Amino acid sequence: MVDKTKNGSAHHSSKKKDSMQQSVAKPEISDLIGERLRSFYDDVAKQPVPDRFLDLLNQLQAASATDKKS
Amino acid sequence: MGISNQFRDDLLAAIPSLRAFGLSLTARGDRADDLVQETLMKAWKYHESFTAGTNMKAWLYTILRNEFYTQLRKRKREVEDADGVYSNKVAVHAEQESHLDMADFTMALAKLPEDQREAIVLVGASGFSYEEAAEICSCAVGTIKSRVNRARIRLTELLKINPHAKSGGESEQQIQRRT
Repeated sequence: MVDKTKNGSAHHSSKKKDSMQQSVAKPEISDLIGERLRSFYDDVAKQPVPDRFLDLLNQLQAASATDKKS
Repeated sequence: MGISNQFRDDLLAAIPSLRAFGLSLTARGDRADDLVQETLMKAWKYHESFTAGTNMKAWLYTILRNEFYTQLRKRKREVEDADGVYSNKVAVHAEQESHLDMADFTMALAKLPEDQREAIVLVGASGFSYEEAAEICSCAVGTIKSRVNRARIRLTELLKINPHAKSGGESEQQIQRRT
């Protein structure tokens, strides 16, 4: 018996098979994850800009215009 | 010199994706929008530190991310377990619509550690390269790659996409080795 995993615990070898299957993210899985991630993200990103931010930018702009004059 | 209209327009154009990034970090709309607000104010205040012609989106994401961690640290001092609060809130929300894939996904995303979550969002959804994401997170490119990989594996497990995947993080070290 060869103990390759120095810091491995006793039950480690029984999980070896599972771990090996998990260790590589298969491209098609990544694609599915990526798809869901993008649709989560794009759901928000396609929403119109809330008024509070338009107001904020207008305020900031107005404030810096005043600064310029003084 | 005043702040150009171009700068304002660029900020405006960046708001939708900043909100999405904010939401993926916080999982809470109100907090996400507060982050965006802080980001816009900081960007305005420090606009001189932005070099025109460089990647404004990356600059803004960096500001938002810094703000997120600043607030997180603050909250961690106030609440003993900010992560727990985060996960529980999302879990309750997601359970109400568990029939929706998206709720499952949001909940799974919320279970990732912050560093993995931001890495996979930046690279997988925000359209940044590994190099840009590394710059935004002030870490090595290899670190980003490894975090993205771990995030992918963890999400795969949480969403039970792979029938062989079992919950538990025992495979994480092997993934790191892969990069």
